[in-house]
Amino acid sequence: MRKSGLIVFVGGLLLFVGSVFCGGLYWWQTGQMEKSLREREISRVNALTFSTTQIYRRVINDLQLFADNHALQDYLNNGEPAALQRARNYAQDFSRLHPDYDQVRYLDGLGHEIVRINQGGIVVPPDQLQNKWHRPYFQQAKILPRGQIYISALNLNGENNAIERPLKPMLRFAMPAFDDNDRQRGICIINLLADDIFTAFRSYASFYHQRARVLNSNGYWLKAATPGMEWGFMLPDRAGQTVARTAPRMWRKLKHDTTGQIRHAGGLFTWRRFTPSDTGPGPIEAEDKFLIIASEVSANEWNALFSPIRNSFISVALILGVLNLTGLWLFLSNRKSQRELDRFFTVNRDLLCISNFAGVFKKLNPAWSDVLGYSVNEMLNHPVTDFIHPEDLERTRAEISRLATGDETIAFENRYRARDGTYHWLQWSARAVPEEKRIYAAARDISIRKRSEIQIEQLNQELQQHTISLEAANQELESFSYTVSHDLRAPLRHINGFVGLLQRHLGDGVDDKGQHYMETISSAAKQMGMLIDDLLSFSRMARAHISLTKVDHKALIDEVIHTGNYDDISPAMDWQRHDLPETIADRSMLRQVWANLIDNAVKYSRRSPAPRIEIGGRVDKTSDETVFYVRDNGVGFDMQYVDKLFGVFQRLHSAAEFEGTGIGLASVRRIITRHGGRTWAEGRIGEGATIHFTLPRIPRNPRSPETNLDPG
Amino acid sequence: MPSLAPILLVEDNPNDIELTLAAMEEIHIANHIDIAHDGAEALDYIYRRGAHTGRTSPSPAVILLDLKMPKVDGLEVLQSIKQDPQLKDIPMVMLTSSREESDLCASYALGVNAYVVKPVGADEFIAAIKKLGVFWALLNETPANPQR
Repeated sequence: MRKSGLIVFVGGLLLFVGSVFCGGLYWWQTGQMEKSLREREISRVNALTFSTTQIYRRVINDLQLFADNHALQDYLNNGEPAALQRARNYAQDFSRLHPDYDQVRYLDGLGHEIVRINQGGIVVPPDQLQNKWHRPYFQQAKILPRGQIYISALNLNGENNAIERPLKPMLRFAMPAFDDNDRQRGICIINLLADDIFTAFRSYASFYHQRARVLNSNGYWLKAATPGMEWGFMLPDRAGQTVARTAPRMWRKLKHDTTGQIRHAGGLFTWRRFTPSDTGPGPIEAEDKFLIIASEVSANEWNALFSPIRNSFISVALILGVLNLTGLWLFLSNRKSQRELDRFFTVNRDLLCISNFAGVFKKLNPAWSDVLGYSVNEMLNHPVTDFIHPEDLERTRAEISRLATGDETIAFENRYRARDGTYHWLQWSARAVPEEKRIYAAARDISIRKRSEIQIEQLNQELQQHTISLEAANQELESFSYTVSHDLRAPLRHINGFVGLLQRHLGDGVDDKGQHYMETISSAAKQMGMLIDDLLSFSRMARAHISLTKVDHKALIDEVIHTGNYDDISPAMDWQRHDLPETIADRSMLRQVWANLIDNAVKYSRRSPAPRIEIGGRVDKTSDETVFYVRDNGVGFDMQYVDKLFGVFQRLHSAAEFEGTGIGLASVRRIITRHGGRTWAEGRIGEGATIHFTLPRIPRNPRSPETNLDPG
Repeated sequence: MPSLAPILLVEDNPNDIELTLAAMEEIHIANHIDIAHDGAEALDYIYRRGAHTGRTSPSPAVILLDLKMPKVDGLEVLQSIKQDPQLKDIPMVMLTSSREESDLCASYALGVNAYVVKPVGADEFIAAIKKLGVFWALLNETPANPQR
């Protein structure tokens, strides 16, 4: 598991280094590109300047040739018309040879055009020749010494005080013409179509000629990025188009440095000063102190140049960045999951281990120390058999073999000896990894559970014992009752029987006392019989199985009254029977209850002149039980002794007053209590008694130990 | 005319025997009352063996049988007789102190003809015996029982 983390780490590192390298590469690349561009721009500007210089030189040369040619010289010397004509021809050839010469002229000393050849060798006839005395170029050239040349400012041609349209940039080269006597006899002029200069840029800058810029010494564009910026000093509507105004800071530089290169407006501006006055072999009088010839890389071009590489770098950077981040994320999450796994292994309360197929511990988590008390080192590289209970060794070996074949262990239990010598029950789950020849296992200390299991087993057995002895006791009680039932009755019967025989035998010969004695014996025996019967039935009923059914109490009471023969005992009895709700109870037991209660009520009220028995019942929702009562208006009882009322064989009246054994109410209480109900009574001496009992809506579970000991 | 079938009283308690005989006297039963003191003797009597080998009297008109007796108790006697095809027709009346449900059920399961609990009171006892005697000895008809 460590390996993949290392790979991720190295991968991430490589990516990172790669990114840095790419970044550096880009930076260097861009630098190189810029450097190369700058250099190229400089050489372009140099080329443009060279080109312009060449043109100026050419014109100057031509002018000199023109001024010095024999034909003109002849004319100047002797004024022959033939010479003039020859000069004119020469000029015409000249003009034809150089289509960029707008005019080739010779003006005399007074400014009259003597020879004028318009562009393309068109001789201007004499009647169209003009006087150019007032023109600045004439005035300027006129005063020049021999060999000196005047170059006008590069500006737009004007005719009749208006700028010629279409715009015609013009340069005038003028030179005084001297005759053999060194007399100045006028000037020679070549009007150069300055466009030619700009056109020449194409040859030198080829594709990049569009970058060519020319400024004059006042900062006005002669060639600008857009034509609308040019000739601001000549066209009033473009008067503001001067770099001096639009880019003063740059202009300062341009003015100051003869050559330079600056980043301007997002592009690159490379310039070189061109000094017309330096173009000649001889002295030159130039209107333009200097021109600034430049190459401008516009912002768009600049971006266009660098954007591809920037874009590719950005793409690469993004890709690298994403890869980087992914790598980083993988690495971190791997580390995190690694940490989690480690922690899981370390923190786990279960005993985790790895062993080889020979059963030797290869890796253990700290839980082993906590549970068994050995340090991990004490157990590492020891066979598991060193720690296993001898009785479990065989089984464990078998289990390890089974694991080695590829089966799983799900809940294998064995005992491990702790450092203190005690044994812990461990429950195992394990899986083998055959390729590694390793078993990965987890164990849980189930010693507590095992002990609990053993305890439960013991308790169960004890419970069984108890149940058996209880059942035995129950059986004994059964046979006891049986014995009592049978064996005690026989002597009673004999007593009664023989007293009876005695009575018959003695016949009338018995005196009253004798009779009384015999009757006493008889009734005592009868009483004993009743006691035995009552006791037996009470005991039987206490053990009897409760079988719950829906009990119709009204029907039960009907039965009781019917079989009770109460009409004989109490013919005038007033039965007040209210409706009774049905309940769930044991029918025969409840019959006993009603029989006992009604018996009592009848018995204790038979002396009343108007005996009345009231029986009723209602459901009490709050306590979830049904409450019944039997009320009589008989002799009642003293509430002082109410506690004794339900006692076994307890009586509140003597046998002389009322017969009975005193078991009736005790039985009632026993039955009702077994159903989960309550019994209580109230009475008033001479007014009667009311016995209440309740039956819960859901009676006590008949299978609970209290109610049933025999399987029924 | 065949001799009157006797009444067999199987009872171990001499007092009960005396009481029963005294009661029978009051109704002046013509049938002879034979006594067996325990279950074994009862069986000997029925099968005319043992002490009663050579008994010539017919099978009893009714056997009055107590439950709890030494050696062979009432239920065993009941079972023996009721399972014997020759003897099963003999009316058998349990005459016992026990009102235990289990005894009742067991007796009826074995085919007892009647089950009477001996009353404790003297008058009641005598009345019961009288009724028994009148019914079983005089009133009740049984299929003719061949001499055994």
